Amino acid sequence: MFPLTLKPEVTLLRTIAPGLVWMAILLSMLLSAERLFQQDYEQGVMEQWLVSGRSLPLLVSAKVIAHWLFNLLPLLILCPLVALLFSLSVWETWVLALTILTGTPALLFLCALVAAFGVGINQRGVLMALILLPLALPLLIFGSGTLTIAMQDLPVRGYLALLLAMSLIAAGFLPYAIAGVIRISHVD
Amino acid sequence: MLDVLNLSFDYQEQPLLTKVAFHLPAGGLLHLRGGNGAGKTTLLKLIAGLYRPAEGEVQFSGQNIHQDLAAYQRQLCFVGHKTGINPSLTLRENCFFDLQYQDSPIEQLITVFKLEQHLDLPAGLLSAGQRRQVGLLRLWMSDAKLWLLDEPLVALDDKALELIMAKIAAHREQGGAVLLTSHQKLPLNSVNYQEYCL
Amino acid sequence: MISIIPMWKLLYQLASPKLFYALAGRIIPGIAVCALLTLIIGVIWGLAFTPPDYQQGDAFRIIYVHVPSAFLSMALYGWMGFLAVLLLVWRIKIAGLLISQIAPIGACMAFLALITGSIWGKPMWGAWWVWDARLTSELILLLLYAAILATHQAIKNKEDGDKIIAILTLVGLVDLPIIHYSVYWWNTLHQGSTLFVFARPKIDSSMLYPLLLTIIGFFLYCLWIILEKARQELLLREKRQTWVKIQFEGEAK
Repeated sequence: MFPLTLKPEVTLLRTIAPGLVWMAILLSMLLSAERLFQQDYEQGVMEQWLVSGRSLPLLVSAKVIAHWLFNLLPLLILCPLVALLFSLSVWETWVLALTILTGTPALLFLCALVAAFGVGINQRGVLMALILLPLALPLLIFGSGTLTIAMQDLPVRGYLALLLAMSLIAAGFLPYAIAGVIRISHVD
Repeated sequence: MLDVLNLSFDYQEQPLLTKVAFHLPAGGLLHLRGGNGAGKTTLLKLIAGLYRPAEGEVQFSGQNIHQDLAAYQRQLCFVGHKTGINPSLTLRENCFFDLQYQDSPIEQLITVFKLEQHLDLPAGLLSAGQRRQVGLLRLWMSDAKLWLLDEPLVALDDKALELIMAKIAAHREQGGAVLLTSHQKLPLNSVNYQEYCL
Repeated sequence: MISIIPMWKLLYQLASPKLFYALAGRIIPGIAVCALLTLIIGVIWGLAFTPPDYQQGDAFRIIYVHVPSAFLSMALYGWMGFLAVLLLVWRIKIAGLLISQIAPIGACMAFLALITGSIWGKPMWGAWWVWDARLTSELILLLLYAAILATHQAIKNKEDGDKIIAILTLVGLVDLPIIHYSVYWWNTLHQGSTLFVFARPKIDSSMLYPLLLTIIGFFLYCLWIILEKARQELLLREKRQTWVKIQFEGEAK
């Protein structure tokens, strides 16, 4: 849809494509994750997690990773389509897919954190966006930056490694933060 | 088995529970009574370790439950007011993913309440009473010593009620303890249970 | 080891609401006087007696508001991070209360830094806003403060709200350096735009001393406001406790 609001020039579209694609990913993640814990909360599944005596961070990670796998697939399928619309080369499409693969875990863990903040709060959409945007900024910058670098035919391996590192850090620490938030906010 | 010592708890800066104290021995059944808003559910959640009391403590086998909460909770089966059933998963998946699930065959479990024809239906399509029954199936799954049941008898038909009461009796004979809340009288003729009014 | 133990003891004692209330009440007048003194001296010295900059003329004098507020917006965030650890690890409730009181002040400081920065930037760079790494990071900091404030507002129970924003503060604290470096990298990636990098000349001591004074003044002022607000909030939250009742019956006599 974005090209329709802009001049249909290939060079212009190519320069802004990385940013647009990553913004779109962020928004789709935010929308899909918004209700990530809501049903569990309302139906009392979360209560069962809390009284089970099992490790809450582990349960949260399992949930988020499962959610990630189901979200990853449509994004990867859409990659060639995006490439077609923005006239990316095969190599650039590969890089885009790789940035999605390495960057989205961190993004989704952040979304899950934000979703945990939103549990039990009305009007949470705005609040969630407000929390998510500053925290997710590095991912957006490096995700889209890597693609820009690839367009300039520069090596991207280092940047992909950085994205992967961010994802690993997020997957390592954020489950504890999410579990903490869930524990606190579960006191009605 | 379970000792509640001078438990006090504030809700929204108002004292809700003050100096609640009782003892529940192994093989015992305690019926918590009280009107709406008396704090039955809150007390149950305090005992489950979901909240921390403002004063007093809960002891399990002579030890404060918050000393090793995870170990205590693994000996616990809690069926709350909310059933903990995911409406978009089928019955089979709900049972399989339940944290109390050990490894008894689900096909057999589900026959307890005669729900076998709904086994592969999304749980959201079941009636409220049937969902309640699925939630209570945890009692058949788990080997927990202490059962905490919040209004287990609501929305159940006579048959299911009988099954639950029989299961509770069997559990008590094996040395387990049961703590349940309800605002009505228990459908029990025997007198060998305690009542505690909030 | 020996020096650490009394410090922990002191921290734990401070954690008691009653003692915090009394101690804060005792040191607030001192802090207030010092804050006003340093601020007034610093500002008058900086605005009236420091020679004008050879490049920027009198416009540079906004530095005496800009730098202290920018410094404090970051220092207060760091302080919040420390308090968040105290709250989450050692369950010191007073730390949570302080976090919730620091956040609005920090947000004000970040906002002030951005406003004065853009007022300064207009004559210097010819634009109200440039996407410079430092500016962008400061903007993100302001957004983080806003997120913290909004979250705290949205949660009804104050003490739960404190704990939740403590977690958010810690996540933000880890994220902030990453944000800063990513913005910096993004900036160098997009070099060659209209960005006019403003090379700050080495600051002369005649400018430096009033700057240091205003920084100290801002710091003391924030401390004063935070302690005062924390005292009020503490009374509100603990109004049913006996020590508050005794305090007020005592003061009424």
